[in-house]
Formats: sequence, C-alpha cells, structure tokens
Amino acid sequence: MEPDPAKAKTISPERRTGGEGGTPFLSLEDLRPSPRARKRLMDRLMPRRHGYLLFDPSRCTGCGTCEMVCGKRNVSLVAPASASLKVLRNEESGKNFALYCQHCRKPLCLEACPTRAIARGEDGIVRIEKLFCVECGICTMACPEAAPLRDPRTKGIHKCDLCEGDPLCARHCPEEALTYTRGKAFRWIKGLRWTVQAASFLLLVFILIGTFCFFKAGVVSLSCPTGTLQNIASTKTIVLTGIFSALALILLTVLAGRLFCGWICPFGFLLDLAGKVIPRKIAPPRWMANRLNKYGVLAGAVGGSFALGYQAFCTVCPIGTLCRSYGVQGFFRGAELAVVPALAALEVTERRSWCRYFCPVGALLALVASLGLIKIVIGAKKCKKFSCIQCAEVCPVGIIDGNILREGVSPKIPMTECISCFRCIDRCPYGAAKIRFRWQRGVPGEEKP
Amino acid sequence: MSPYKCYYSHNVGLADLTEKTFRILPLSRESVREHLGGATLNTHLFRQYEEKDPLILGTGPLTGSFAPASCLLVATFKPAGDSKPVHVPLTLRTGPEMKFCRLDFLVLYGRSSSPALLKIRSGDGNFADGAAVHGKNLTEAHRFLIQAGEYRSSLLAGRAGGLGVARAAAQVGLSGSWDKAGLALWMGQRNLEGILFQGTDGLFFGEDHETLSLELGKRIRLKEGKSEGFRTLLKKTGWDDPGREVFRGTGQKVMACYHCLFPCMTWLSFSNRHFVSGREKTQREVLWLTDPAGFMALKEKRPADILPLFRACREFGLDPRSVAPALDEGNPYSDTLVRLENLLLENHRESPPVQEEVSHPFLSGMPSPAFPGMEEKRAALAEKKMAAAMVLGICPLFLLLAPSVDVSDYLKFLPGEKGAADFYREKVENLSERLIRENLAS
Amino acid sequence: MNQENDRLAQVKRYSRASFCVECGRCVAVCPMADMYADFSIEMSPRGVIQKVLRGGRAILEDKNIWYCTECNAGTEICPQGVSCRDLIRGLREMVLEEHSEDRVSYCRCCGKPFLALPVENFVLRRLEEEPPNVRALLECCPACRRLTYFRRNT
Repeated sequence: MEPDPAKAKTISPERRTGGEGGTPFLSLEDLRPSPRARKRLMDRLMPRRHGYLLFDPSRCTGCGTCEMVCGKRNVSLVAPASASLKVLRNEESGKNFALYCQHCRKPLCLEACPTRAIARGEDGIVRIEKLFCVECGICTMACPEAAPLRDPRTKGIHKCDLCEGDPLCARHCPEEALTYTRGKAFRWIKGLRWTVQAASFLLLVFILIGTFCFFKAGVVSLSCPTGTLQNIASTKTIVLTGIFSALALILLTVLAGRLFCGWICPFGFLLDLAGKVIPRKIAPPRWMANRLNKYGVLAGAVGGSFALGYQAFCTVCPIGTLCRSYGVQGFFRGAELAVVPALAALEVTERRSWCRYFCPVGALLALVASLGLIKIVIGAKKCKKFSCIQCAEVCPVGIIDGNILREGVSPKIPMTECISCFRCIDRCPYGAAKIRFRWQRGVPGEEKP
Repeated sequence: MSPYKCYYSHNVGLADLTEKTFRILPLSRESVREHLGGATLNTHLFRQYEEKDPLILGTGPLTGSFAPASCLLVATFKPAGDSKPVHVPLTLRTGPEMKFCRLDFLVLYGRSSSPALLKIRSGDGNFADGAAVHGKNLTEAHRFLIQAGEYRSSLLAGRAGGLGVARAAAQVGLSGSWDKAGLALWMGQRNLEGILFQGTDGLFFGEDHETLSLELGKRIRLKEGKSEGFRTLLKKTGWDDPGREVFRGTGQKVMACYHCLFPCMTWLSFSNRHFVSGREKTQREVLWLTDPAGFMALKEKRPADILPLFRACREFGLDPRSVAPALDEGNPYSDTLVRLENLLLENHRESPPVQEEVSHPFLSGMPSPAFPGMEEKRAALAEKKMAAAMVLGICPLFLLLAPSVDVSDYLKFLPGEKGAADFYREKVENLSERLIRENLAS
Repeated sequence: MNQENDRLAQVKRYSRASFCVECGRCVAVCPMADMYADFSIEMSPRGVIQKVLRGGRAILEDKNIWYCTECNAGTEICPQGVSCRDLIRGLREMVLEEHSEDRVSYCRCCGKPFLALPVENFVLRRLEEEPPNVRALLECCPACRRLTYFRRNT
C-alpha cells in the first residue's frame, strides 16, 4: 500500500534538541530519541550494581600487556597503538598510568556526540554504536581525559567497552594493577544501618515509650543531652545522675561521631524514608541554609528553658514527639503531632535539612564530635573520577565537595556535620573513602611509605 | 598462510648514514627458514654487508608476540679493533616497536658528517639533525626528544658514545642497556646520536596465544613468586645482597619491559647527599637500576656513594663496569665526579679497549649463566636456553630468572602445521648451538 | 606568491578535488548537519570543494573551512575518491602556517592549535551544564588532558 503523504508526520523544528540540525526532514530526535530517560522509582530506590575496572598505579610496571590484548581485541592484531587503553609512562618520575574510559555515570561524550552514537546501558557500560559513529572524534574532544583513542592506522575511534563484562586487560595484567570488581563487598553497611535504624525506631517509638528523652531501668538511666541541658537551665539545678545519663550518648559521639544521628535517631529514620519518596524540588532559602542555625536553636532552647522555667524545646522536639506519639494517647495527640510531618516535609529542599540546619540535639552532638576520635577521609588519588563522585551525591548532609574532588584535591570532611551514616564509604567502588583515627595522617592513595 | 609470514613483515631496512637515505628490501623466506631470526639471522645479514662494516638491528620471530618477555632487539656489529662481530641484546620496547614499524631487520652503515638521529615510523625512516642531543646528559636529551615529538622507543649513543669514548654504553630510554661491547662507541664514531621508533602497525598471532600466555603467567607466579625487580635479579644471578644500607631512604618501583611477567628493573629515587653545586646540599634524584655487573663493580670500589655514582655514569652514558677500575676508593665524591667527567674526554685511541672477558660474546652485559654458585651442567643448559632466546627474539634474562619456563613453551608460539613443531625444535637447537660455538667465550 | 599557488595546487591534487561530480553524497553523511543550526551549502564538503575549484586563494580567508570535524565520512562515501578531509586539512594547515588564526582553538597548556573554533563551541555548548573546572579542561588538547589526568592520579 502506498504511504499517504497527507498522513505523514510533520516535525516541528522546536522538537529538536538545542535547536541544532536545520533540515526539515526527519531529525535525529525521531530516529534515535535522546538517551537521557528519567529513572524509574525502583531504579532510584534500589539501583542495580555493575562492575568497575579499577586501576592501581602503585602496582603498574608499565609492561604494556593490557595495551597489547586490548589492541588485539580491537583489530585482531597485536597492535598496542590500536588499543582502547593507553599506557602513559614517565621514565623520570617512575610512574605508569593506564588511561581508559571510566564509564561515567553522566558521560560527557554521550552529550556531545553529534550523531548520538553513544549510549549508557543498563549494565553501566558506555558504548559507541558503530552503526551511527562517523568517527568525527568529538567524543575525544568532549571527554575530560580524552579517553576515546584514535587508531593511527585505520583512523577509527576506539573506546573501552569493558569487553562486554569481562575485560581482557584485567585478566591479563601480570601485577593485578587492573582489576574488574563489582565494587567492594562492603555494602553490608547499608543493610546493617537500615536494620539498626528500623530496630531503633521500633524500640524507641513503639516499645519503649518516650524513652529517647529519658530512660531508666533500675540503676541505669540514659537521657537526651539537649534535654538534660534544658533541664538544668529550667530548674537551675544540676543533678549529677542526670549528667551521667546524658554522658552515654556523648561518649558514643566521641567514639564514633554523630552516629546517633545516622543510625539511631527515629526521626532521622523517618527523614531517610521520606527523602526516598519526596523528590528534591525547591532550593532552600538563604536564611535557612546556614549550618550555624542549629547552634542558634540550641542556644534558644537553653535560653528559653532558663527564661520560661520548663524545657522549651522538648515540647516541640520532633524526636521526642515521635517517640511519644504511640500509645494510649498516641496518634491522637493532635496538633502537637503535626510537627513531625511538617518538619519531614523539609526534605523537599535538601535531604536531612532538619539535621543540617535546625536540630539542637544534632548541634550539641556536633560540638562533641569536634573532639571525636574518628574522621572520614576521601583520597582523591584513588578516587580519580570526573563523574563518579557518588560519595558527594549520596551524602545525606552534603558535606563532600564534589567539585574539588574532580580537581584531584582530597576534600576535608567536617566531622561536626557528618552524621556517620557511612554511605560514602559504602558506595565508593574504588576504596577511596575510609574511616581513620583523627591523628592518622595521609589519605588513601597518598599514604607515605 | 605461510608459516613464516605470521610474525615477520619480511622487510629489511637499509639506512645509509653517509647519503642519509633509507630504503626497504624484502627479507627472503629462505633466509628465515635457514636462520630463523635474532642473532643468527643478524650474523647472516652481517656477512652479506660485511665490507660496509654495518650495524644490524634484528628482531626474532617471536618479538612483539604474545610470548612472555618478547621484547628483544639484537644489535650485531664489529667493535673497533675486533675481528668478530658481537651481539648486544636490547630490551625495554625496542624490538616490538621496530616490528610495529613494519621492519624486521635494520642494516646501518656509512658515516654521517654531522650528528644525526634516525627516526623510524611505519614503513619509513628518515634522518633528522641530532645536534640538539649531541653532548647532552641522558635526562636532558630524553626531555628534549619527548618535547620534540612523539616516539615510543629510543636507542641513544649517549653523551660518552657521541664523544667517541671507549667506555661508553648505549642507552635504551632512561634505563641504560646491556651494552658492554662498544655499541655506543660504534654509533658515536659514525655520528649516529640515536635511533627512535614510532610504530603503529600490528602483528598477526595464533589463536591459542592468549591462553598460552595466561597459562605461562600463572605458572611463573606459582613457581617463581613475585619479582622485587633489581634485588631479585641480583639474588637470582649469584650476587650477594648489596645490603639494606644502600637502599635506605629510597623510593622504589618495579619496572617491566614489553609483556614481561617477571620484571627485573627497579626505578629508584634517592637523596643525593653529595650533590655539589657550589655548596653541599641534598637533592632528590632518580635512576633506573638495571645493570648488576656494573652496579656491583662500582659498589665494590665506592660503596658509600654507589647510587649517585651509578646515576652519574648513566647520565654520562658510561659503562659502570669499565669505569670502576679508573676510580679511586678514598676520594671525596666531588673529586670522583670530576674524574668521571675527565673520562669523557678520553679519546678512543688512548683509552683501554673494552675488555672481552668482562662481556659475554653474545649476551654482552647480561648476567652470564655461569655465575658463582651455579653448577656447570646447569650453567651449560642455561646458556643454551639463553642462546635460543637470542634467536627467537625473547629476552634471555627472562629464561634465566624464570627457570620453570622452557624453550619448548616458546616453540608453541611459533606458527605452523603439524610436523612444523619438530622442525622448529631441531632448528632452534641447531641454531643455539651454532651461536654458542661461533661466539665461544675466550 | 607562486609558491603558495603551487601549494594550493598540491593540496587540490592530493585530495583529488577536481574529481568531484557534485553528487552530494558527502553532504548527506556529513555530521555538521546535526551540529550547526546554520548548516549551509557554504560549509558543506561539496560547497568547499567547489569553492576551491572555482576561486583561488580566496578560500583561505573563508570562515567556512573551520566548521568541519575532519571525521572522514565524506571521503569514505565519495564515489570519486575525493577526500574532503585532506582538502580541509591542507587548507587549514596553509592558513595556520601564515598566521595565528582566531578561528582555531589553542590548547591552554601547550599552546598548540587542536580544534577548529566552531567545533569547539559546539562541544562546549552541548556541555554547558558541566561545572567550570571540567569545562576548563576541555580547553586543553587531548594530549595535555591525558597528562593532567596522569599527574593527578599517580
């Protein structure tokens, strides 16, 4: 049957991306839709893990075997010059480096390719589709490390495709400088943390009512340090047992940073859950996005308690409210309970924005954490990715500076702000993020021998 | 496919230094069938052009292939004052790079009127002006060459070689070389400052080569363990450990040649306490440790400043072993440095000729298989293996350091139908015997 | 002057420009159509070839020779064996030898010219959402970028 010209689709020029490509015929958008598809909810909640090709420069001897096998795969000849991998050697500094495509999560080559030949698969591999590739070399010009290599003989472009899941270079490297891994097995931190958070929530909210604020079992008593401070301010007396009770949490913070905030706080658990469902839509206003605000709230809570004679903040504290919400007078406490969802709604600006900017409990723990024993370090040399920066993305309190990481500078992580959730350490596939004692110098990848 | 076509492009480059021309001639199948390659085919080519007093650079059939440590380039020439040609093995990446330039053998002869560099690219070669490199220390020359243009492998006569000093040693990259036979002097006398390779072609290979290479790698890791570079080399070739004192405070890194699974070189950074530039100050310097005989000879003479001295020899392009007898034991370092510089002024007619007994006739400066502590029978066997390696284009030192690898493992990499295996075995056997016979150590 | 005309003639000969029959296949595969909104016949391979054949040295002043990405798709499809890439390359080299050209992007690190400015602008425009330190890297030539990466990570 003959195609009916009247029924032919008319393509409006506005549909083209960026206004490029001036022909009125079928555009690239019709033939090959932009690969920048939106992630589905399940993919956001539980992203699938894929392998990483890791390179350890300290082990590389510069033998060039990787180049050899890669070239063999590309052109079926022993030809290191035609490999997708380039070995850079500096005989004076004694350093060797294997340069190859890092399969960035947001590939620049993908954005720049004029024929949209590059796509990132579900398996995490960024591939050049030979059918569409015209070998213009713009991908090389767009890549920050110029990883796609031009074959000097055939003039084609070769880019690493991880040998479809079983890289030859990693298999052949005699010193195991190149390894292919599924990231570290360390992901158990995630499972452990969610379990502890859930158990803590159950315990503090449903089973032991109101006990985050104060818990007594026989001789042992534990209490919220901020609440204790407010107690002292309001009653103007110091009860030693009260101080000792508060010390438990203080001690935990000295040992492990604001672990409470990341692992135990039931409101924090709620915020984490809310953050998974609520998308980030609004930028926080300038007056709000100041991390010193929480110290102000702390000061206000203590000052207010002093002035008013009762624990001012404890009445509206979301943590306390949440803990006391269940029970005989549980969910029907009325307006007081509204503070919990109201503050949880702050997640629409930034994750854990309550914890970053307002929580006085967090503020007090932050002051303690500045004397803490541990710190988290991120070694930029081991990280070495322009577009991985997963640590910066996954950090719920946003204290990892992704920009300086890209420059190759190891960021300083302020342990007063860190909530010790260890998501960065869990996520980093290259082993660049680690826990260290405060007195230890050097970062992963830059340790002095 | 013809059995010999696989790994050779069948090209012989002819470079005339006087006329500054370069052309390519075909390599006959008969020559390959008769002499296979490496040192033996080099000798054949040498005899062909003998009246021109040439330098033959030759690869072997397995150079550049998947065979482990297939980096060898053999230099065959007649040193000044000798009656027979000698062979010098050149490692790092020279051999494969020449093959990637679609050249199997290179014949150089003539004499250039001014310092010249020979640049070899895929299928072509041309001469460039070498004045910028002449008389420069190694690091400077290297830096200049890197800046001037991309090349993947270099063979330099060095400062001493360029000046015509008999104690000179040729330099491959920054790592020195095994030259103790006067290759640098040969090049310098003809005003050839260096040869640069930049290859982009590829070689054919057999289907099972990849698996064979992996298996050999596993076997070596199992039997020989991990290599610590230079110190392992010293240990395995009968030298005493130089002692921890020498390496205290140094940064070390193991470096390997092309596809080498048991590296024997170490890059070293050390603090030169003796550095003199008007006043005493400490400077962090680097060097490549690759020459056990030279290193130990120098160390015996002057154990206190072995590292800066070794580096100075490398920079000047001098062979440490022939320099050691000319040094005094007790002098301060600055005096010794002056002495070294004076050695550069020695004309080849005045200085003593390079002694033959310190350099192996076909392994040159490589550790001899007959080192103290090695039984005679095993030494003879090792020598045969190393001779076979010189024919096949494999680094002979690798076969010495990894005795679990045998020549029969390498024969598997050679192409051919059934029945060819026996032919190769016999051939390699005969040729290695011939090599030993023709070049009997005095 | 004569020398330069000879040079131009040499470039024409080497690229086989005179064999062009204006079939337009090179234009059909040219990626410039997808890169530039103002893609016109002036900058298309066919247009440049025809200008070279008709005009003299005027082509060297023309800004239209700087849009090409030198991908070689046109050469590969040409039934007459005309190499538009060699032609463009030859013309560009002639211009750059005479004077520094502001239609070319120079590497921040080593100073060598590495990309025609329209192509560079295309790349930067596509990547305008990237942070400034990444974009700064894109102004270096590929060799310098690799060396930067090398130095940063070892």
